[in-house]
Amino acid sequence: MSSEYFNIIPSNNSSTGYAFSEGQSLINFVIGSQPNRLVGTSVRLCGRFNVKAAAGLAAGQFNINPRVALLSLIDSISISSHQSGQNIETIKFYPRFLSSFLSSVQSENDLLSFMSVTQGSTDAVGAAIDGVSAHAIDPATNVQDFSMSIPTGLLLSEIGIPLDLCGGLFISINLSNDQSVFRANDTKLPQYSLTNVHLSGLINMGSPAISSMEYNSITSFYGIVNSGYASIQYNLGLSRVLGAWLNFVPSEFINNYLYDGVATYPIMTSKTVPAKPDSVSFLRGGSRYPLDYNLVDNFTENQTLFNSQVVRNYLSAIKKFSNIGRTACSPLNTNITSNMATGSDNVSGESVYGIGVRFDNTSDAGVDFTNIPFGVVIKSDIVTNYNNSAYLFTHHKNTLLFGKDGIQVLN
Amino acid sequence: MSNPSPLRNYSKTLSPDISSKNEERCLKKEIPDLLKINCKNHMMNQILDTSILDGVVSTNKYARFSLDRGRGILHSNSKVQLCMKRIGAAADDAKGIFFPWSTGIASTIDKAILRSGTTVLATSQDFSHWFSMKGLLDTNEDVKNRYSVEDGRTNAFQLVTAMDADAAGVIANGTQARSAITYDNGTEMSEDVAFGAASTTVTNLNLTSRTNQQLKNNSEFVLALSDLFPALREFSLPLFMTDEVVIIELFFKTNQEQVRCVRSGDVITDVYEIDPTKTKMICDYITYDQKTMEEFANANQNMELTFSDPVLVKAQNNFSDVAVTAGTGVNPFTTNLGGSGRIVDQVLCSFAFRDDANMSNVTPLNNYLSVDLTTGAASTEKIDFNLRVNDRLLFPLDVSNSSEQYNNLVLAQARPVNITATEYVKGGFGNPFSTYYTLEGYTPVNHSQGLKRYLGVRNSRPEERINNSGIQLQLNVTGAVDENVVIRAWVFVRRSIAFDKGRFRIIDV
Repeated sequence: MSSEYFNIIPSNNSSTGYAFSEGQSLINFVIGSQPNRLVGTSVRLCGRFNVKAAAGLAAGQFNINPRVALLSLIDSISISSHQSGQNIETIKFYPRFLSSFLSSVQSENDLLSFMSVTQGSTDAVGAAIDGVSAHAIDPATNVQDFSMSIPTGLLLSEIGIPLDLCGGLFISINLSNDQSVFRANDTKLPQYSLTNVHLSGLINMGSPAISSMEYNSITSFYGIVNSGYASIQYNLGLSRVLGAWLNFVPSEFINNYLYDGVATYPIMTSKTVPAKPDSVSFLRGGSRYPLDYNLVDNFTENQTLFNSQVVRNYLSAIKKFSNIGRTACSPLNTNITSNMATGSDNVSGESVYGIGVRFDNTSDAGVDFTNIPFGVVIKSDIVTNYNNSAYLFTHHKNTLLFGKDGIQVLN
Repeated sequence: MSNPSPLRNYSKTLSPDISSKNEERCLKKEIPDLLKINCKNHMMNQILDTSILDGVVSTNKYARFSLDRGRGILHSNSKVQLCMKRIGAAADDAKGIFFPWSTGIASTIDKAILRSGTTVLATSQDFSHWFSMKGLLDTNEDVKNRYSVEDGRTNAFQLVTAMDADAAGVIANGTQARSAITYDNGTEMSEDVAFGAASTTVTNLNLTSRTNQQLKNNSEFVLALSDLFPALREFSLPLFMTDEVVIIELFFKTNQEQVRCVRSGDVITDVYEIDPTKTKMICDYITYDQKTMEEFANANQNMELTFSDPVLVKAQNNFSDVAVTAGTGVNPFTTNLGGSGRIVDQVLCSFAFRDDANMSNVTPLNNYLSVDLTTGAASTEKIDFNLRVNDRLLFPLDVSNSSEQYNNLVLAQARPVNITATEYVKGGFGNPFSTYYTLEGYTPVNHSQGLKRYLGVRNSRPEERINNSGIQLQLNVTGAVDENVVIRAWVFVRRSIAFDKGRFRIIDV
């Protein structure tokens, strides 16, 4: 099959690069309408990552999330039709999504090899402020080339995306702020900038006459857990939901140089002490679904691991558990004895924790939540009013319809 | 174009379009395709039998095997067994002599030829270099657990504790964390740190080769036929249909320095060579019931087996020679890789030191590596890479982003390439090699970093024949290292093995 490599510079090209700290936090790409198909899996966001040296900032004195690494630079991503502006897919809280996603479906070896070259990932110790550093970035000399795959449902669709039927694509990337990317001593505020930014990939020649294409997508929501009886309800408005999962981070860790706001911590009762969820139940319209029972854990005094049912259902919400061939999740990082003070357990990367469930293990057709709310009830030993941010991600099917009047997204 | 498997891993999570495509290509026809690799023909009444063949000729420089005629279908995973032995009395058993970590026993083979009668079906030149590159497609776990035993490779890596020590080599207890990389062959380091009550003094930990990887132990290793001849990854040879003898020839290296490595600082006088008495071929033959075999043979009296054949093109250059000071300036280099009139699928490149350079006492990889052409001294250094195919540049802009070059290599190979960031680029961004863990006495920071800078690209228009200009490789190196570098480019040209009434012949598609 004939194809062409492409290299697209941003439509809002900046001669000085892109940096949140300088107000250049939006990167837009336009892939024009043409009778060809975009090979979504080949699309890479490329560029050069530079750390601006603040006074006294040296190598090893600041860090980024080890697994998500440079993908944490993307705060949200939106893909829409260039001609009509119709939104096709938007993922908010993108680093939080990837933090769950990458730790669940990529192994330590993937993170150390393939993903370390493309985006600087690792499965090493978490983002310590200084001392032991997962990423020994020297701001004076160490710039880093990156060429990252951008996991979104549309781009990872195996069917080439017909650019003429879509009316071209408009890809908009919002960059994260420096505080949410870096972890560092608060006297040495590192800042990043991106230069030589471009989008590369492959376009297959020719366009099929198709009327629709199906792809999976992610929709994100935000909530708070701050009591021993946390009940979270969302109206998803989605018809074919395959799974849903929540990950957590203490609210005070978000946008804070002192903490890693991307990591998937357990629910916490304080900055350093994990809560112990006694019971988790998933609800559809107020009834327990799909599990007809609560995930109960009577924590024993010497228990060190998260409840295995909780971990299993969480992983399965992201990818069908029986199909998980590679994962970074292990007893070492699903461990309540992790050193939360440093954001790591010093052994095998950061904590991998979340609460989730897969709705459809057999047909993969998904479950209708159009008019029925989805809920999670978490009973834990939180007694203080300590805020944990809860990010909900739903994994669902979308259909993109192509017609004379443009495109239509059915979700 | 297929996706590298980590992306497939993503895709299977997020894409509903993944179906079992591998099964589709093996859908049962009326007469099943018995020669396709990985088809589920084992569901049929398949019989597998094995013969161990001695070479018709077997010396320390050359071996030739004649395969049995009429013995069903040759399994592509059949093996060649090889072993090294010492010549004369032992003088250096206390020293370290081991196979290069990126090749294992494959360092002994210079060239391999697959023939049918007088027709050459496939040739592998500079096989050790090819093998070290293709070996990077094996997963870390496979290299550590399987291939270290099978062919003697050692270049798996692991995350290790970074000794974050002060200038005196003292670390405080509790600050150890796994954040550095070193190689991993499944053995313990030869020295260990004795942690004290409050602090401890760090000594170097040395990773030595496994016992079976040390030449003095005369271990036997095997290499798969599909490794020797990539065409056999795509189909099996129907020996039962041929009238001619299928022959495999192996040409061994005689230069000691190209075959083995020595521990840092060791001076070796022992001489090792291939043990001809241990050179054997372990052939697996597949047969099915007589009716199936006959139906297949009758239906395929004239058939063509198409494959992508890597043809080696070599050039040599010192990228810092072009009237600029080493470490600065741009050094343009263009070479013609040929391919005129042919269909080319992909091009892979490596940059090794000259063949006459003794690398056996420089790095545990010997010369089976690909050096980063830049010095790594400044962030402005880069390699601009492009191919001119049919008078058009393959990439609209030269690719200078090192991560993008790696991604193109992955797209070309259609599988993830098992290289860490620091192996790919000097001063890479990922976990650094630990300075406290030495590899047979070599400090990995100096002797492994930036030594796997392979480049590769898939031709985006494989259906177009290459015109008379051939394919041109264009490299512009900014801040080039002052080294004579041998550029090996494997150009994958489309070929067919035609089977015509009991005889094979090669057709250049």
